[in-house]
Amino acid sequence: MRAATKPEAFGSRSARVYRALVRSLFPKAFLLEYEPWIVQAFVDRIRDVRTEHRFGATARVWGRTIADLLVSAFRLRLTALAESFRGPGPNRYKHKRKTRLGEWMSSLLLDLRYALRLLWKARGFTAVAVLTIALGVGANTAIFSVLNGVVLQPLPYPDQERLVRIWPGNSLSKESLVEFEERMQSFAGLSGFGGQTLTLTGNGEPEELSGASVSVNHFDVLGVAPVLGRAFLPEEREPGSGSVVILSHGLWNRRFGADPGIIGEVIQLGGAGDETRTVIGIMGPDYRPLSASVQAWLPLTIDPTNQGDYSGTASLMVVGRLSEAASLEQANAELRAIVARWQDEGLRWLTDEVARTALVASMHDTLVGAVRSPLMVLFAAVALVLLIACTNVANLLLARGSVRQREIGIRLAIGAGRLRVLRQLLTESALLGLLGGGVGLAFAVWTLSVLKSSLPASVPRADLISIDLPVLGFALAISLLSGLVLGILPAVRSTKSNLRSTLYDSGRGMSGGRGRQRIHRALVVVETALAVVLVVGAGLMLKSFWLVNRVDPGFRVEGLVAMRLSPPASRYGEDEILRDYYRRVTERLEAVPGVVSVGGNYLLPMAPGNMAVLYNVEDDILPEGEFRPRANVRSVSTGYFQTMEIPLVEGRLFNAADGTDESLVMILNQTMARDLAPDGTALGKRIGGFFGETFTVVGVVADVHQRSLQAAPRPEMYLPYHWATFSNMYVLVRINGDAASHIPTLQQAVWTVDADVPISRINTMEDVVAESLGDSRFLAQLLTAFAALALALGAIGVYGVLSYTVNQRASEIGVRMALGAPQRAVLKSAMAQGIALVAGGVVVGIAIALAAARLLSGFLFGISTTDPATFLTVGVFLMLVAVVASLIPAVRASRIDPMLALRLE
Amino acid sequence: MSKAVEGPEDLIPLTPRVFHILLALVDEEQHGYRIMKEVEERSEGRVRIGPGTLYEAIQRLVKTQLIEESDERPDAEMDDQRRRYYRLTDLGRRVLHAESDRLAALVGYARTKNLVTKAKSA
Repeated sequence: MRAATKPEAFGSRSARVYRALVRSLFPKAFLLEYEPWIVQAFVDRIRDVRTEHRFGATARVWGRTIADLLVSAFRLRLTALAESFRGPGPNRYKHKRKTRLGEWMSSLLLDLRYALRLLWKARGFTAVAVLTIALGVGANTAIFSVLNGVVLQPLPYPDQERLVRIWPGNSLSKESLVEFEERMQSFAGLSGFGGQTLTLTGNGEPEELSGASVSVNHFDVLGVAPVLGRAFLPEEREPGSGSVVILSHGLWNRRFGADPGIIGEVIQLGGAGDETRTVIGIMGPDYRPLSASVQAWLPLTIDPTNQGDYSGTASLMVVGRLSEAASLEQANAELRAIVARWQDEGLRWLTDEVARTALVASMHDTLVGAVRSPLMVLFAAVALVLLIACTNVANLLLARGSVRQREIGIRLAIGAGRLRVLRQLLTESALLGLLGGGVGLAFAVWTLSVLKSSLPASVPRADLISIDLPVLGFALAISLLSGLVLGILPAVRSTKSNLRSTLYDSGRGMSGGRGRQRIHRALVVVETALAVVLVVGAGLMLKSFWLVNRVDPGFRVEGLVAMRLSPPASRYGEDEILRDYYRRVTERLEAVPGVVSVGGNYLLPMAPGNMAVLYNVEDDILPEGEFRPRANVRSVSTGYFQTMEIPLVEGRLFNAADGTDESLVMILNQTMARDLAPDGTALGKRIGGFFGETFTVVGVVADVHQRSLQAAPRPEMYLPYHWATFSNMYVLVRINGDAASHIPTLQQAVWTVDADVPISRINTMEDVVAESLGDSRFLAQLLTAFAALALALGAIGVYGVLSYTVNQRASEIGVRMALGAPQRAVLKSAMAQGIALVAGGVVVGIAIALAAARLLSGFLFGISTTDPATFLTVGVFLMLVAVVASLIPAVRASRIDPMLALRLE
Repeated sequence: MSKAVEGPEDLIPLTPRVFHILLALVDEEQHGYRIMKEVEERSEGRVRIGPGTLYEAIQRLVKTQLIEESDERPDAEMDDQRRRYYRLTDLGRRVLHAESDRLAALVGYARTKNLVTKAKSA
């Protein structure tokens, strides 16, 4: 190459912009040779224009320049591409395309140009078709990007496919972990992971943090390491070996100003038996913990001399990395062997039912398993929407085909091969698909932003959802595919007709295409059927959601505020101090105007978190080998039941004295009372086997839904807070009036007692319940949106086909009316046609929906997948839509002027 | 490098744009912007060539040896900046001839059909 002496194209802003444009558009090889000169030519032009002083001249030059750049860059790149296919052949001015590929490329270019011109000429048609496809492609791309981010992407750990979760359905104890470590050979490493609530004080506002106790080899198992400092040491597994902590990058940034000097410092981090901890490491910013919210990791301590004590507290999740040689089957066999041995030993918690769930599963599967099926349902739904969109556009193309029949007929007549014409038509529809895909992508970006903000909290890895390369590839693929799918039928159809009949008929609208009309109708039936499937799905979800909402949670949801208080253990270590704190908080809150009553519970109904124990009933010992199900334990304050408005069924509620003296009392829920005394009363029964004490039942209260509205209440025992004192509590406040507006005042009231106590959550109970319904609401909402889209597209399809038929039959209708057919008869016959088509679609659709609705079975509550009322409603509803959609074309048909119609003949 | 270079007949017809560019170089060598201007002026504004299109064409014309670089030198009339000049090659001149003859024949034929407006025969 030669070193070009660069001309000094004066460094004006427009020259710089122009140069940047040229650089970004043109191929490298070309730039090497011509960049300075091209810029110089532009600079010359701009200068000349400026001296002309014509109004708007510069803008005009810019417009022309940009068009010029785009066109010439495109041509250059195309030439380069063609050359790369052809090889560095002889350089000639006019390339004779001798190779097949070159020929194919050049004729493709011709086809593309022709297609572009046609689409531009039929702008109305193009706009409708492109928008229709865009809706379908957009919805698909948005849902695919969720699926891609949440389900398809691998976990962000090295060799993630070797990571497994042991017994995902079950919380495990430290003792079990130790036993797994000793007996399971197929693992390179095992780690326990248990949630911890920590309180960070000292610098800035007090804050409750979500932390985790993890085995000392936790980060090794995952294959990650801190970016700063070190991971845990093996000896830190021993209790009392020093209180250390590893912080998340986010926490380090937020609370410690990303100061590297924090390593080795002692911070005020209460929880898990310590007040302060030494920071030993900081995780990297990209590290994704097993549980997204975790911000600090503590070593999980295991006391080898004291393992018996651990068996009761089962709260660990156990993950492992399979060794290179081992398989998932081996690991499963090992686990089954251990569980079988435990069963022989007669472990109390290990019922047959629990034992059956023993499983080693891929970590990826257990993480995304729960969201996979709802996402698949949504994906199926958007696929249907796309199919309907394609059907619509196919119908449009078909109708246009009849307009273009003459053109195509002539092409075939003068010797174009059928394949050649077919390809031209498919190029057109593929181009439509691509244009639709382009617009659809914009639509997807918008949909995704809406979608992401309404995603239920239970969806893991939501932050990974984005429109990335695989998503773009997917959008491109489905755009092209839909272009081809929707084009194939009309294309085959248009090129089949032979010349004679084409030229003969095309003037005559009436017989213009009986076969074509059959296809039109078939397509309408198909799209109606698809729409029915979607609408039935949405209908089932909506009805189920409505039924769930009607479930009585067991307490009055309105006018209730729940807040979680976490007094730091440093100052509230003793029960007496804690009880005093909560007593004062209760008094302050009760003094707030509008507050009716105040209560507390260790755990909040309808919110995550549970505490359940195995228990015995005195004088009612079960035979050997039989166990009662675990019962939930709750610690509640005296005012709890009144505040929640949970009715007393039998006996009495707690009073201030309960828990203060020797007599230990408890209250049961109705489910548990019924379990213990199916016929008589549970009052007076003595229950023990947990917390080292035995309690006397003094009351029975109505059931409350503990987990969700869908799940049936489980046996539940309430203990007086005064006896079962915990540091973190949910405080519930019954408000007279609007609950949400009281939140700031309540918060202030709590802080007047102690401003250093973090309020980690404060919500109206209505919000809490709504959040617990997040998943099913999300699914119901989206399905409804997609069904509405399908319905709209379907209605447009019916309308379009009927309008087309009416136009086609105009002369026939004209003749009929001239012969005396009354207007009403014409109206009726046109309507009847539309309704008949939709009726056909509804029948087919309902048949398909009966089978397809089974996909939803896991998401429905209170109704079956074949709920007759829903199916019937959907059928009737679609028929109504059909009536509306056929009305306009039918009226138009009945208003045809016979004279005009006949003259057109 | 040169592979059995075809005769001028193999390289025609030319696109109007290329024809104009070659025409602009008949009398003297020119640099890019002058070619643009000349084409625009001579066609009374009906043919406009932007810098991108111009250099894309130049690249092809150089490759096919219809034109060649003469040298780089300042254009004293404009701003004394250095510019790169191009001139017709022999082949280019022959191609231009061939194309002109072809067009003339075509126009002649059209004339026999009385299709050419008389007034414009200057």
